[in-house]
Amino acid sequence: MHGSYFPEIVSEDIIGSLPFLLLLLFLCLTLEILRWFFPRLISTSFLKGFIVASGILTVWETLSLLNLLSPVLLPPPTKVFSNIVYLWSIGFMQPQIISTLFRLLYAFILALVSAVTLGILVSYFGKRFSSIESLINAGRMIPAPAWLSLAILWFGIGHASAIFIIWLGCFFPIFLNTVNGVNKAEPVQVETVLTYGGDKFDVLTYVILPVSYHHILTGARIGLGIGWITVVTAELASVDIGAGLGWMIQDSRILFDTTTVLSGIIVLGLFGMMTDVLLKKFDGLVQGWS
Amino acid sequence: MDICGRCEIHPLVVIAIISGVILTTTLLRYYSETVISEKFYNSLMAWSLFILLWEGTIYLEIIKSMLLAPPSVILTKAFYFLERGYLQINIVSTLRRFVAGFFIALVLAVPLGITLGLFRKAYEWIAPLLDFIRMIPPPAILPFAIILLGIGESPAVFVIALGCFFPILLNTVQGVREAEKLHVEVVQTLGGDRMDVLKQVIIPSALPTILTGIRIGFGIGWLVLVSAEIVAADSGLGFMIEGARSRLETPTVFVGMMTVCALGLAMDIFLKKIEGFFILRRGGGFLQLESGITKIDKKTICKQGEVI
Repeated sequence: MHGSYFPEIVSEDIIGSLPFLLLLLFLCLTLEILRWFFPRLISTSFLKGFIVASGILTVWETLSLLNLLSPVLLPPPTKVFSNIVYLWSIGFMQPQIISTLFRLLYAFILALVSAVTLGILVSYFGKRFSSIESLINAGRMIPAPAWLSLAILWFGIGHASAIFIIWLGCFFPIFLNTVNGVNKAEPVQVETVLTYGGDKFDVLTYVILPVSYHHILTGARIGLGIGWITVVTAELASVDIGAGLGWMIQDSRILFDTTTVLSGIIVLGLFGMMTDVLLKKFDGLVQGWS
Repeated sequence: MDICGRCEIHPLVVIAIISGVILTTTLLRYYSETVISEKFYNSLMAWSLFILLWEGTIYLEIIKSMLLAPPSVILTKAFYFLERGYLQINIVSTLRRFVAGFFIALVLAVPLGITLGLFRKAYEWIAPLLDFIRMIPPPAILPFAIILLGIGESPAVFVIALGCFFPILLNTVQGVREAEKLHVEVVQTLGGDRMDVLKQVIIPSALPTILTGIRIGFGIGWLVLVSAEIVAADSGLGFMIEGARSRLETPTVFVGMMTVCALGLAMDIFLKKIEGFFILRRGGGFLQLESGITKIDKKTICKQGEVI
């Protein structure tokens, strides 16, 4: 299996240990100086995070240099960095990232649309909803990865079953938060819109959506976190062999290629952080009534 | 269903029992409305109709039984496993793994969170790094943990602990930070030292938030537990589900899922009870939420009204 999909790992160190440490120092200084001149451009928290990360990388690299860490179990940062650059340059990393992101975002957007729609509908039929509440509660306590086996039975190996379980994982947090948010809409506000001649659609656009926006976003962030866990689980359990960062990690683990394992983990963390930051940016775009 | 032997349940039996339940409760409710509350009646109806639909469609062969096992077969299978002790073994090994990981996370995250909440400067330095590590899905670290710690219980426990760790830590930090300045100053004015402030003000006021974090952490840990068992384990409910899938034993998959669901639900209810108890004891049922003072909805109480 490995031979046919996986590239030969012939990554050379593109950067030595000493230049790497000097580069980190240089970057820290540059960022600090840049922040001095353009305080808007670089946030303090980013700079602080960068400095702490550089410190940890320095310690890690130094320990590896002193042969205190086994290069097989915990390869030095320069090796991992070179490996990421190498996998990227031969065009192996990009398809993995794309297929992971495709699955996640497809299912996430599907979940967002379906959960918000259903959440708003359910809040309109509040009384009826309370009777199926315990059913939904029981359903949400089955973790999304547990559905993987059934999903493979129903949809076969491939994108479809991965998307199904990611959708399930994202759905419940968004749905429950939407219901919670819609219920926060005050009757006075709804009645005001109705009094001024608005119809039900106006109530939706002027009261319910702005009020529940923040809650929907909170649900979306929780859902995205669960979505990341689920997509990686699906790929680790080889729902689709030959595609996805999770598959890459699992396959190189089998080969004891710790460098690629670490590369995959770091890329996953970077993309996870990027999606989270992106969602955070949406917060405050719509001002609810308070 | 010859595997089962003597304790086979016929689909019609399930249909008959459920229909009986529906009829009896409806009649009871028709004659006196006080015996069964409306809420209980409604959810009982929803459950009964759901099971009836599930059993019926498969009995009438609208859906293939290989794709979706009917409740009668699931029950039969569950009794069979209970009799043989197969289910109990898996439950015990799952719970052992989970409790170990959860307690490691609890013991590390709460003290660390209190420390970081007290020393704001230190937290500002570490926060970006924590944000990065938090966004790495714990199952992704599983292969790495296997390389570092070897095959066995420890990688799974490590990953579960990692999954529980961050929600507990972040909520603890938030809870400690939200302690009222005034209360701290009162203790200091009355001659209390730092230990007194911690004991009298900070920990009691942070407790509800910490408990919310523990419940969220439990949810994530439970998720990670199942995925770790599906990916790499030789026992446990996730392993049972994955193994049954590879042998195309759909009923066993369902038995595993139902057990996971029941255990999760039980623990969730237990944690909510603890949370409710501490919150009510602390402040008479009021809690400062982000948008002013709001009365607690005991069922879905969370910070900023989030529901996990």
